[in-house]
Amino acid sequence: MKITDSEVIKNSEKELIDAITGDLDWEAIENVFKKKHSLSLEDDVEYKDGDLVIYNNAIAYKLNFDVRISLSVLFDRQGDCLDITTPNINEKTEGVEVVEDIIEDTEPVDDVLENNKQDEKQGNLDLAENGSKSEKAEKLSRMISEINKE
Amino acid sequence: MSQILSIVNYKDGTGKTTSAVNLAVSFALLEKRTLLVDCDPVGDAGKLLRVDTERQLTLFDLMVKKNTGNDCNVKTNFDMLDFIASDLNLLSIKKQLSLKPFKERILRASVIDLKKDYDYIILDIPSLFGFITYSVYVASDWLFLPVDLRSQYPDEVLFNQVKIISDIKKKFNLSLKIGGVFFTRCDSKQIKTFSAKNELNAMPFNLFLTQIPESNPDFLNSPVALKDLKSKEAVAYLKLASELILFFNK
Repeated sequence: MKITDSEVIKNSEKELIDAITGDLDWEAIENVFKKKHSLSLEDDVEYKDGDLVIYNNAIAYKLNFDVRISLSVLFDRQGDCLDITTPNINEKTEGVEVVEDIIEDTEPVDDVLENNKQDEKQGNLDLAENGSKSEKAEKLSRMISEINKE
Repeated sequence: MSQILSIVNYKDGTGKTTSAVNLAVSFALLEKRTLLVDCDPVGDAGKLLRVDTERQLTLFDLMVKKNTGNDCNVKTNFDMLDFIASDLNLLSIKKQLSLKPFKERILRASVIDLKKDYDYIILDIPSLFGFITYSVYVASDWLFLPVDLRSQYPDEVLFNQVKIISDIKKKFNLSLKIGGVFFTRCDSKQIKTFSAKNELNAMPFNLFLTQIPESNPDFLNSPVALKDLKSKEAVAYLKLASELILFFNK
């Protein structure tokens, strides 16, 4: 027996998670990562998803991220590995002269547009090959269904 | 439930801002509490609404300086319509937010707090594809696609637009959906031909029945309802707004 609209619950939970992620103290989180895992995170952090969970018999919020980290492999002239470190990009590693690379600030949207261009070319090629309008309509329909599914 | 919606088309000149402004006005005339947020640094929505945005706090202040929605919104000529303006500061917003994680989600976090005050929040998206455009997609619950049948290859444009939405949705794990398609600058016969050719009637989205006619050039610098509420343009936007309200309430 339904006693309320499941859509309202789902949307409200999503909005709650959105509000929490929008107001996170990232410095504090980064400190936890540094202390617990000795990891220095760079700017390219992507939120994947979040959920309400039970932790130690209490409600908790679980957020999953994709993060980019820098790892350095140090090896000698004989090719033997000396160390693997997680350097802070703002600090020079003691005893090691660091050549600073320019890290290109690639907007995520660039990836999307680039993929899209490639798909467009492929799509146009496919269409030119079989000349089928229906196939394109079918693909469009599939994409829309995928986007609009719960 | 309050909805955040955007009218998107990656092509310039397809009437995104005109549609966003006139739809916002129409929602307000239909007594829906509406907020229009200008997300385009050029600020055309404010000019079209004829709102004095000088010395006003803008979307930049909302997103960067953490001013509240109440600090930034401006009253308009319409009782139920509020407006948040934009300015050229928005061009530097990515740099301003460079150290913040989840940069693309800050717009959503900023407007989500305003949902309790409005029935509809419309985000006016810029044509230029960049950080702000991306943020608008992330911030939206629903996207509506205007199809301009006078443009070149409108079928290709529609296909590519859906592909862009699909890619962005996957990349950010968003809950946004495509609400449907509406046609601009065309007549019923052209729509019928185009829809049949591209099998649009079988698509799993809403094909809105109202078509937006080519605007009278005298109406281009103001909401059409302010010029002439009985004009075919004003009536079309009111009908489209009614269709959207029905869509959201079904």
